[in-house]
Amino acid sequence: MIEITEDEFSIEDVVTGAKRPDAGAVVTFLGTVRDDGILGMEIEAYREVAREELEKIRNEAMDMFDLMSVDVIHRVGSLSVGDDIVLIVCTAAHRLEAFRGCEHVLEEIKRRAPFWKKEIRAEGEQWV
Amino acid sequence: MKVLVRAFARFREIVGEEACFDLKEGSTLSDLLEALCSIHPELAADLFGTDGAIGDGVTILRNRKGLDLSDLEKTVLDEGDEVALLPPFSGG
Repeated sequence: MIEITEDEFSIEDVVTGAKRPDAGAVVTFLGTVRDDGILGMEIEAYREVAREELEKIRNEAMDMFDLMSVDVIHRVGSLSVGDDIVLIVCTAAHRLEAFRGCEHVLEEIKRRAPFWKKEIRAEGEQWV
Repeated sequence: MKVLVRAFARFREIVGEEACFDLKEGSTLSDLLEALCSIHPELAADLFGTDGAIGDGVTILRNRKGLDLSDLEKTVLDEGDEVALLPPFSGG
């Protein structure tokens, strides 16, 4: 599953959907809005291109790390402190591939996928 | 010829979400950016580095595909092109 959404998501549903009998490892990464003294955060995406890039990143990671599945959900819109931003769920036969694959997917999303965060503070707003 | 410019995040706040430009046949990406910066002078500081080249982390897509930004004169635009201006990414 690759999804870009304004809506909250269920981590449990994604993990349950990813589990399979031949997978011995399910690694999840959940990125959340950190309290850096902000009031909230806006996340913007170039949706069409971001979706294509997320799909490419997933496909590359599955080949590189012998993963059985990769799910990515990235939020857009207005978020508050503590809200979920991004969920990555990777399954593999063994833990090492799943951990490495999950880290790779996250780093590539940060590097290649067109998403932007704007911090909302009492003193003003700033793109980060 | 007509070229559509789309802008995102801080670039969107300067130039707007979308803008249609009527350019001479044979115009290049350099011509388009010059036209944009003449209308929105504050864009130049965000789009270009101090050396005059496209700034670090800035991406420009033509019809959703990446471009070689080392020589903006080399990219000759066509009727109906979509040029997207993307500031450095900060997702994840």
